[in-house]
Amino acid sequence: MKNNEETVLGTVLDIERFSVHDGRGIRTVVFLKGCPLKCGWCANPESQQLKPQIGFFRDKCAACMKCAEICPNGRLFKEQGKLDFLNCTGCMKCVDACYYGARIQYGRQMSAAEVVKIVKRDKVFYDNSGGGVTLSGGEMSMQPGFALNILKGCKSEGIHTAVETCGYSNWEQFSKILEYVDMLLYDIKHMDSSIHKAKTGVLNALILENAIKAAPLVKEMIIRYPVIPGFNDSLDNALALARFMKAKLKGVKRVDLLPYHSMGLSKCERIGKPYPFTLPYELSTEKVQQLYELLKAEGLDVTIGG
Amino acid sequence: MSSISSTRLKLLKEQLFHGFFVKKEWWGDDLTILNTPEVEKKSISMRKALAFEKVCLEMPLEIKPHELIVGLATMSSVGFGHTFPKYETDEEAKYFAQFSLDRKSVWGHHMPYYKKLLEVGYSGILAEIEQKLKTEADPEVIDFLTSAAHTLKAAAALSKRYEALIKESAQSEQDDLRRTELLELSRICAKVPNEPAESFHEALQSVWFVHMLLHSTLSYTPLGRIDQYLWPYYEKDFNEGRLTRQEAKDLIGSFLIKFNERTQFRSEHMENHMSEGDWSQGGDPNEPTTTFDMENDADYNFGQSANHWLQSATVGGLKPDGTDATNELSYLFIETLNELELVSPMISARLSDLTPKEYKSFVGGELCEGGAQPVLFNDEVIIKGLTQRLNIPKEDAFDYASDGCWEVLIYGRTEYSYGHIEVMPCMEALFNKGCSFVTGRKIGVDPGDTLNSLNTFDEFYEAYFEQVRYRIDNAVKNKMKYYDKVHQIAPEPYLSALVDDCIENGRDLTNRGARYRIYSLFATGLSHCIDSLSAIKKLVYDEKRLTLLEVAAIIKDNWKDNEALRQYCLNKTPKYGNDDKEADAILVRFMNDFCDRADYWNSSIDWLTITAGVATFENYPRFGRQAWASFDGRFAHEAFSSNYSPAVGRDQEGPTAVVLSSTKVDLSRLNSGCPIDLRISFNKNSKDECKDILSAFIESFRSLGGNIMTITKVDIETLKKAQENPEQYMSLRVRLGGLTVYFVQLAKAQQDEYMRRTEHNF
Repeated sequence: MKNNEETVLGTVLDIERFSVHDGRGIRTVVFLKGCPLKCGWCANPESQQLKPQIGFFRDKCAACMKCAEICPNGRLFKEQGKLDFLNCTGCMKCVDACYYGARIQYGRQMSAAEVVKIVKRDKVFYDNSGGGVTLSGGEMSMQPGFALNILKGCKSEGIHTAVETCGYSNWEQFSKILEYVDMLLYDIKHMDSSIHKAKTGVLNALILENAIKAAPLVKEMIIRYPVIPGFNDSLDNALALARFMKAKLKGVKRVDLLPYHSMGLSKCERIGKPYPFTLPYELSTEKVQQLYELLKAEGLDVTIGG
Repeated sequence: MSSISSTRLKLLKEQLFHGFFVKKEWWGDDLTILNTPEVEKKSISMRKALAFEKVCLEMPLEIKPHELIVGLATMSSVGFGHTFPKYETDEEAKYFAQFSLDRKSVWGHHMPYYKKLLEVGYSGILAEIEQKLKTEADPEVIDFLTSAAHTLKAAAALSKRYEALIKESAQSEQDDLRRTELLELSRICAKVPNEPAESFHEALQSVWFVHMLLHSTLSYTPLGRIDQYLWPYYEKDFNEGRLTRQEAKDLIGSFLIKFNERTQFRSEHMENHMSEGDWSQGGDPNEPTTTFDMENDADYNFGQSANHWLQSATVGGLKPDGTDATNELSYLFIETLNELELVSPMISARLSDLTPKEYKSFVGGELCEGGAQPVLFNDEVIIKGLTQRLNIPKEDAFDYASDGCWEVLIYGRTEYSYGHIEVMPCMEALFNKGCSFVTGRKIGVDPGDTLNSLNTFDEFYEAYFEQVRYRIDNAVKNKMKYYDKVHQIAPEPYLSALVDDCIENGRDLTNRGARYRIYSLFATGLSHCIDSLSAIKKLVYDEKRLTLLEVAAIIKDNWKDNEALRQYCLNKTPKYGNDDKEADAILVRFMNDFCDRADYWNSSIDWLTITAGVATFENYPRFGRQAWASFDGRFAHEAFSSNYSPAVGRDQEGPTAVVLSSTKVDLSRLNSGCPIDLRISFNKNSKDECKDILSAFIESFRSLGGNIMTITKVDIETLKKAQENPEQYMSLRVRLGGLTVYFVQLAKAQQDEYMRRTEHNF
């Protein structure tokens, strides 16, 4: 069993140390690759696909064309190191060949033990700040065994664990993971299932159902509400969310408003993908404030930005 | 702009900032005491005392409106020199010039023992001197003691001049309240520093008079443990109802303002009074550690050390008996300094395991506001080093303070100097037959043809470290050989009277009189050395892409036609500051070897303590400018990173990784200190959250074994705006490595350099 845990590899997008925005205190955020949702506004589009992929930073490229020389399918590169992403097999040879750091490998295979070892390095900082590890994504439950092993490993090291999830997962697997979670950061994007499906690709039923089941199982649960203009920034939706929380999520008081930002745009460019989201209008601070006031009036603890 | 707690402080601050734009007059450089043949026959120490007396009797006096502490120091600056009447003969001047020495070769850094001064006054010290003179037969000792006594009497005369001036101005004062204040001030000036201080106000005025006079007579001295020696006076006045907290703040504010009055914001207002002997410790002029080239190119240097006087004060930490020393003044000095947005004195906060949580949180909160004050010192690591490695008795080790910039020394009891061991030119020497690529001069050992035969990284490393060892050995030998020369041209009888145990030993502090004599070896350019070694290890020995001779040629050509390879070195080799095993292993190895060599010298010399540290101070652009290209991807003349900080922009794993990398070395071996300088910004909404995160970060730094850290909270956007609209950012303060400065007063080149620094997002 133990052997198995150590040898099962997962795909990690990134391990970001000293994060102070995803949970309490000083934390290390482990981003796993792969997501069952396809949200157009996604801030981390490079996390959506499960398998590793290449990112290209145009501003760093000196057009030395070393990438083209080394690529087994050299025709893929035409000008300025630009890759035909569609036909890339992901061998990553061009990433190693690029001296300028213009090519980045998004996603690497690691064992849970390797991940825990890196997370452990900042333990002193977690202990002093009340921080710990946050497992994020993509959607961590796309790699349930791997996620479980990371969390188990962290818990056995005495590290506080948080998980950021979209909630769209198989309950049997998800509930096992929850046994090792101290703090659950749970996204609820829209209360209307058909709108949810239209913009994220899935219905919200499973998400809401899992939220209800998860709430009594974890010490602390925070609802995350990404505020996307034209999608879920209506007062009606906020009200529906507040009512749902009060009626169904016993003991869950806090909701974090996460205002839309356009970081996903440049990231899409890097992975050769069109940015699927068109911003209908700018999100005003007044609008966010309105949502804040409404949720507050419903008796919830609200933060802007988490 | 921060809000200010009283009208007086507000007025004093306005008055001060207005003065930053007014040309300050320099005084005293054209004076001489050599008017009669009799004077020329006197000892050098007595002549120094006579010149000192001349300053006391003739220096310009000034009282400013609203101020509660009086006394104007004559103009000077670390970057632009200082003034003092001539007391050495032309023959002497000529003779000592061959050792790069002159009358301005006064090193500063040594702290007076203010505790004793406040307790006994000049008169108590004079009594001690007279007592000793009664039985003394050694003419050299008699000469020192007589000179010291002469300076104390002259110094007392200066306070009397102030007393008279204030009395006079009180007579014409229309405002009743101010007249009362002036009369009280004249009473205080009649009393201190000659007599022991009895109130908080007297104690502050006494310290300022001494400090101001030292700074008007060549000696850039720091303040030591200011919250400790002033505490009895504050406590008594406060407990007996003579002083409220706000009144104390007004006094402290008035006191702190004085340290900033020499500040000049405009380069055209600066006068250059540097002499050949400024910043010289005496020695072979060809030895790089003998002197310190300040490069007074206005565009380049202005702002770097222009408004710097090594004025640093220390608060908090442990008492000599090992208990917690934090008191109300530990708060008040930082609080008032930041309220007034001052850069001087730089305040260092000592933190220990016994420091109250509340104080640690206060310190975190102050740093969250920006302003880069205080600097943080970790008592556990520093005291461990002082006691266990240098064998300094506990009660003295517990009484350490930050000196001019941040160097650790026992306050009031130490004579101190240091030499920069520039570790990057050492690598040039290895690649260039023992010579600098920049000057062509011999700076190391000629390795002959050995570059061909260094077959393993270990062999290469040893060959490199031999160059470093050569520099260390030369620095120490130079120091020892010429140590006693300084005393023969630039003795310090006044300061010696205020430093333990000079009087007891009957010797000037430049003549081995102080209880501790410390010479620090500072590794300079360290991060680039570690990163270069790491790149060489990877490319030459692990990947075998290049030979050492090819590396030497690439360096020699300053990366010409090798941009791709330079990028490889920048982007694809392990770097210090990322909690990277390979790079940090090289760091640990190098630092241990460096400390071993310092220890070797320390155990070989019985009269001088040799310590190690890592330092550039604020001179990291200058050190970089004088160094050629390096294999970490740095071009020739590019700035170094400051002190013990990772190379700029190469620390990409966040601040925890920086701390973890830097603390892999046992930092209790770096007895003189090795600061990490961080620039941070905040995204969090709540101030309390920022404070908590930062305080937790500082506490982690301490428990991991860090020794000194500076933190400047300022984001790049603010810096850009300040560069464009300086008048709106007049009081924006940043930490440069050895000092805190007003950002807008820096030359553009210096600002740009500062803006390149990694911003850690909290």
